[in-house]
Amino acid sequence: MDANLKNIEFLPDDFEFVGDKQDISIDVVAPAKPAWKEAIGIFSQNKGAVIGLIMIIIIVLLAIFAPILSSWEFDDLNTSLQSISPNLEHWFGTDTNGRDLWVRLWTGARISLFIAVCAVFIDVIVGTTYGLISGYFGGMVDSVMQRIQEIINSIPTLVVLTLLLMVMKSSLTTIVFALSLTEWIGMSRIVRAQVLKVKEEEFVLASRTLGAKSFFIIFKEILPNIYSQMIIMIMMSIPNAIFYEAYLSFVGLGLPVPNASLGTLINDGFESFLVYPYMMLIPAVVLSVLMLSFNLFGDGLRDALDPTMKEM
Amino acid sequence: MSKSTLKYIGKRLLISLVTLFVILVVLFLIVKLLPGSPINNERLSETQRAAIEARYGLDQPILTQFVNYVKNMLTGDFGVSYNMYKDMPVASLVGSAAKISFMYGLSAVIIGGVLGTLLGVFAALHKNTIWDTLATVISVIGVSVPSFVFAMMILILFASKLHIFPTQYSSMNPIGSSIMPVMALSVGVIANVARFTRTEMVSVMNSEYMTLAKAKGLDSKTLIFKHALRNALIPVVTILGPILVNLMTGTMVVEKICGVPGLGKLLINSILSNDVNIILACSFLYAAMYIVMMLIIDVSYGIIDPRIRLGKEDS
Amino acid sequence: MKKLKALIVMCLAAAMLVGCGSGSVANDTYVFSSELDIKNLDSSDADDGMSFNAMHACIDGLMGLDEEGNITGAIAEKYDVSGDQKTYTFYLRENANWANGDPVTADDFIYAWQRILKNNGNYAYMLGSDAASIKGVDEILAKMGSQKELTDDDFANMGVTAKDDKTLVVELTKPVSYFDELMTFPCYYPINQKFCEEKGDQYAKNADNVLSNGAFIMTDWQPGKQATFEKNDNYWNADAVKIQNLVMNLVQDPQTAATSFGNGETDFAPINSELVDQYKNDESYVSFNEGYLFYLEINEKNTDLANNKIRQAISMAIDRDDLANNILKDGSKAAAGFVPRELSVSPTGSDFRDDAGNYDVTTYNLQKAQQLFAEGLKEIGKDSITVRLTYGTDESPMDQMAEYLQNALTKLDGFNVEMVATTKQDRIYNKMANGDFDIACTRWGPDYGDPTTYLNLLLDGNSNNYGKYYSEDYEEVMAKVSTEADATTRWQYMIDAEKIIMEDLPNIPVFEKGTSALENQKVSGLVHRPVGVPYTFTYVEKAE
Repeated sequence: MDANLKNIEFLPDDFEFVGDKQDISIDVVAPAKPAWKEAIGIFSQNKGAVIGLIMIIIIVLLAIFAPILSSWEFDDLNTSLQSISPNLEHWFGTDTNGRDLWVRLWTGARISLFIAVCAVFIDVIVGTTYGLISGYFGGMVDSVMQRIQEIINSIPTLVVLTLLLMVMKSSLTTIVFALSLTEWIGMSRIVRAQVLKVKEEEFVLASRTLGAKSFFIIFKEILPNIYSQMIIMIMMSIPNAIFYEAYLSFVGLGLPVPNASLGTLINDGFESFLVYPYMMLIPAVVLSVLMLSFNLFGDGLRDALDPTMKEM
Repeated sequence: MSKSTLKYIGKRLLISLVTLFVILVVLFLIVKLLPGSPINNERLSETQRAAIEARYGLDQPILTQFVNYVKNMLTGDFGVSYNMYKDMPVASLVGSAAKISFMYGLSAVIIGGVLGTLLGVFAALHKNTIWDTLATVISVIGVSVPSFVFAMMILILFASKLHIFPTQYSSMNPIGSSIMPVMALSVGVIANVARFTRTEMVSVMNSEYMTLAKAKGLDSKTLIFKHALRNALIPVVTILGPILVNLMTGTMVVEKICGVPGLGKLLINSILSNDVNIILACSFLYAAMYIVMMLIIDVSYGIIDPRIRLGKEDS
Repeated sequence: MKKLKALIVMCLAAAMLVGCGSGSVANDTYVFSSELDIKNLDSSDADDGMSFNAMHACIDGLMGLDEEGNITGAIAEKYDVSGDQKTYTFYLRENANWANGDPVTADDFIYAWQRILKNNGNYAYMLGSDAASIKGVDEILAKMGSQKELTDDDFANMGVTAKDDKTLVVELTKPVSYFDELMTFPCYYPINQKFCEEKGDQYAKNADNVLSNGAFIMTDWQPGKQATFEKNDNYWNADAVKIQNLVMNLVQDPQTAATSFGNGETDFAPINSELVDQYKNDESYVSFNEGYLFYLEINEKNTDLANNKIRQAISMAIDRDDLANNILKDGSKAAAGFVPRELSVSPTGSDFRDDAGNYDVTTYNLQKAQQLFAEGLKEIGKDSITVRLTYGTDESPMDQMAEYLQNALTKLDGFNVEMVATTKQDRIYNKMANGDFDIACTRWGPDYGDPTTYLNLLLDGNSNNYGKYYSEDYEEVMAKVSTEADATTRWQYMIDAEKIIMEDLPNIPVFEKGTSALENQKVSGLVHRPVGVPYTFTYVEKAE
């Protein structure tokens, strides 16, 4: 106690009467900012998220333009150019069939990005619809839909994917179809939870009282109020989708040759990684960077759009 | 345990059992409705194939086959392998594979849990320093980068450069060859646990009871390990679910990379050789493990925090 | 924090200790690594090379191989052939015993062969006129085909009799010039009836349930991991066996196998195409002919591909040497015809391939191919064709082959390829069996060392003739092949038969698969053979 007392310093005006000499409180009214502007503000302060966004943009640009600008073809076998280490002519080297890996890599990245886009659509179309219907109508509909969803969710995704490929045979359509069977679940859960919350709000009640139909309420009243959660969820599901494609290709159930995806490139490179480590390392690094970027970007977006979800 | 807790556990148990049964039906249908014969041998004539199918009872109606399968399953008989290891009992094949996968998974959870917690605590205690940033970066990378990429990196580093660990499974050196895959698997766990522990630690350290404990004059060791960590770790149960799911995915891929004769590799190989009984048993085991894990997590969390039971319904 | 550091250091230290438990293999132990798995140890229905290796390590048949890989008597000390070449009398060794002490008798062979028929096993055809041509078997097969019950009489009429315990008489319906060689194939191995029936369902399902009469006794078998054997001291030829222990490491990744070979942990390591670059100048590098022919099967129902010029164009557009030497690199060779090299020798001792020669259509000539293709297109009245190329992704190196072909064929103007990637199972039983393919990448391994093991594939009604090829001329020549008693004339008929199919091109041969491996130079005596049992371990010896 004594020690603490000693630390207290007194100011000259400490014992003076305050009275109305000064304003005790001043209301500072923050200038009204639109929500999206505020979000951008928060987002741009998040270094990781900005780096993620930039990396995604770079990868997308490379995936679009690198194969077009290169003089090599992704499926042009040439046994006289086999297994050349990265050099000025072949920036990422060539594979064991003599194909340029720079071109193959970015052609492969196209596939991964295409799958990412598909995952977004699946999330939005299947997941959102399912969640909306389940949450909005409630009751029996909700119970049944939730049980179905629980059962699908109880089978590990990889088992579903692998079994499906057994029935449907490997191709890009199969992979996308397989993803559409499982990827929507997370989205539908979030949407349903949000709908359950929002539908009890007064503005929905008001709309209903004014005679709005379910369709109108869902699309005009509820959806605009849950979009931020949806965007966050979409960003979260993209890396998953990319990973599942890579996984399927890696276990040999992916795209048919001579097509390339990041997964098939890693798989091919794995065959010879002791001799030519670059064949596997480069696509593995690009895949990791891509997933990392989407994760960072998603994290940043989450913090910006809905700070309450932080660290969920 | 209160009555409502028991009721909750009972309800969850019932749902799990029903789910498991539905999964079995679905798996059975998928496998049985596959086109073509499950007997995989190009040297067989049509009549020989028919005779073999009859011997395995594959010519019976699908319902009878299913009833028989379930009956046998309850006695621990999962049928025999048709193609991969002709006529060998599936239960023993899957059993020995699952043992390895399970050991790897368990080791990864333990190692990952311990190291992850330490990393998380470390980051939280050095909040907003360079160490914290470093720990965060490590955990973000650990969460994003797929475990098979890690496995490959470790493989290149340790196998081709350093020659320290055996990179591939060898039955002559089962413990040594488990180090690499377990390392690869635990990276994800470390990252997840560290990330979560840090957040929880930070919020616990800022709580009022910590201020009180500090005010009581407890030394920092007791403070951190007895008071803060304990409370911070309880919510970690919530992320066990996703962690275990990631691990199951991870084992399937890492097993392929490291040549581990585990469940994932068996499942993939059985799919490639269309060995229906092994496919069925492996996928069912995966689903069952998943459901049991979810059940345990839900129930334990329900006991820890009774509010969850109500909230769970909606989220 | 100190604790954390200490923990990490401890973990790493422990890991290193465990990690470094390796050393080189003992001198009386031979470690063999394989990419493949032992799948089945029942000689009456195992059908893959690695299972053959393991089985032959423990079980000898009537005939076996000597140190040079030549056919020699094993359980049979010698045999007599009758003048019409239709009766073989095998005299079994007095000192050939099972590991449980029972002598190996003529009845053990009869039991094993009848067991195949009784179980309707996949090797039933090997006893009938497709291969061994044992008297009475075709009748049994016909009965089984029409699903009639087999009676004891049927088996009594079968041309195998035990004159006494150690004398086996086999009667054939026609001369089979390769009969002695056939007897080395695992499905003709003997089975001890008492042991087999005692084990019932579990016979040959684990190491304890395999009864040895051969060089080694199986001590342990963990599917997917490892099998171990020890020397059988009661083996009739025990003096020839120099090693005490045999270890087979199963399902080894080639890169791992190569690494463990470098560490001295294994004496034999298979390597893949990618590793060949690194090891091809290594003294330990060896390559073998695996015996498999990889070829394209064409669906006769496809009207575009029915055009012979288009087929020739396809065949000539493939640079087989480039594929074999630069892509596969594992010792594979470009195929010159439908019967592979080193499969069979003529009565005068020459290889079938040398006698039949090479065909122009198997020589790469893109210009000629383009010209033929253009003519073919004109004949069918089209500007371009699209063809599905079906292959299994799980049948290495089928994907490499498909990838190469896709590239080679699309170099022909107007040739579009649609890749159909699937599994082996689906390729054969759904796609090919139902005629749902245009061109399928497929392969065939010989059952015995006679060209008919390949030539029979294209006969009308053969279950593997998925393309539904039918040629009257071919049927006619093949009928002569099957009945001709004179070996030299028969040889010529087979050359004629191959000529017909190399003109019609129902199948386009691509390459003969090779295997490359690293072999410990101190080791000698590993016998390799492209037909039947790939590796014989009996004579393996390790120098000090």
